Amino acid sequence: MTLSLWLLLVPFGLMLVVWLVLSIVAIVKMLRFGYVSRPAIISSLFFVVFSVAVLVGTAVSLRDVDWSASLAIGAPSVELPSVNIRSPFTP
Amino acid sequence: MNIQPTFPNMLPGERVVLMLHRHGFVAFRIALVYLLLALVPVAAWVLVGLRTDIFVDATGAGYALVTLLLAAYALVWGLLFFVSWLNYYLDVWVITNERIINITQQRLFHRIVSEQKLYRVQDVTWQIEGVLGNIFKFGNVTIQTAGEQGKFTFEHIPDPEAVAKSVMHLLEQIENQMGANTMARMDGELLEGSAAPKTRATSPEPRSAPPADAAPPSGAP
Repeated sequence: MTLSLWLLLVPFGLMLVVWLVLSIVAIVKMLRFGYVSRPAIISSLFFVVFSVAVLVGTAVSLRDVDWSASLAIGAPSVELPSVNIRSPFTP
Repeated sequence: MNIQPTFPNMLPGERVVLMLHRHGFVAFRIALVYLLLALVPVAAWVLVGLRTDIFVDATGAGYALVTLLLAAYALVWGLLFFVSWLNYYLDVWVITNERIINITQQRLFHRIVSEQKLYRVQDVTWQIEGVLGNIFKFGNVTIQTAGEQGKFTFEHIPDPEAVAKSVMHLLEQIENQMGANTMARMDGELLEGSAAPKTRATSPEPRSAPPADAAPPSGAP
């Protein structure tokens, strides 16, 4: 079975949406209930910078990938040699 | 011990005496777990990555799959680390000259805030247990109050003895300010209204005056 490579981006995109919502909630909570103190601001800033770095790094790493290619699933990783067996009964 | 001069939603004339977080060792323990989790992809790379040529071809499917998995791992790791830090940092106990406020951030969507008037404090207990608690000098302070909120426990706070002394000192100040008669009336009301212990730790003499104009209990916001 073959699968288009770009389909890998679908679960990643869904994960990214959930991650983004939770991240925004976490940052808002930190700034709201941390009363905009210095540790709250610095830790939120670290988290944002780290997340942006990961996302940018991922985008840069994947820029050369050919997303139109197919991904073989369940296919044997080792190609067996084809053997031409001739029946002794065939003339 | 982190002392800050102001706190939101303060009452008129109220000032923050102590603002307490759990001891830094607790934060260090959390950070250590996440640092170990950060080493998982590195270990996987050492075990598997060096023996494969998956990263040679930057256009291949295997490369894309592994990169997406690594990115997802890093993003989830960062988020969980941040939420753990949030749960640590937003878990805070505030002692003002009038109230004790207990703010518990249990999970990202679970936050409990409860408060009690200082004059309702009946008993203060502090304890340091365990080897690490004795080395780093952190422990628990339990404050028994008369009211629905019964007991406040400050968990793993630095220098619990000093905190307990501060609370007792504040109680003495309140008693001096309010006068023995007012305190006696309040105690009388409290004794009728709850099944809590009938003596205050700072006042060995039992008070038995009839209830009068005690302030109503403060509910959790």
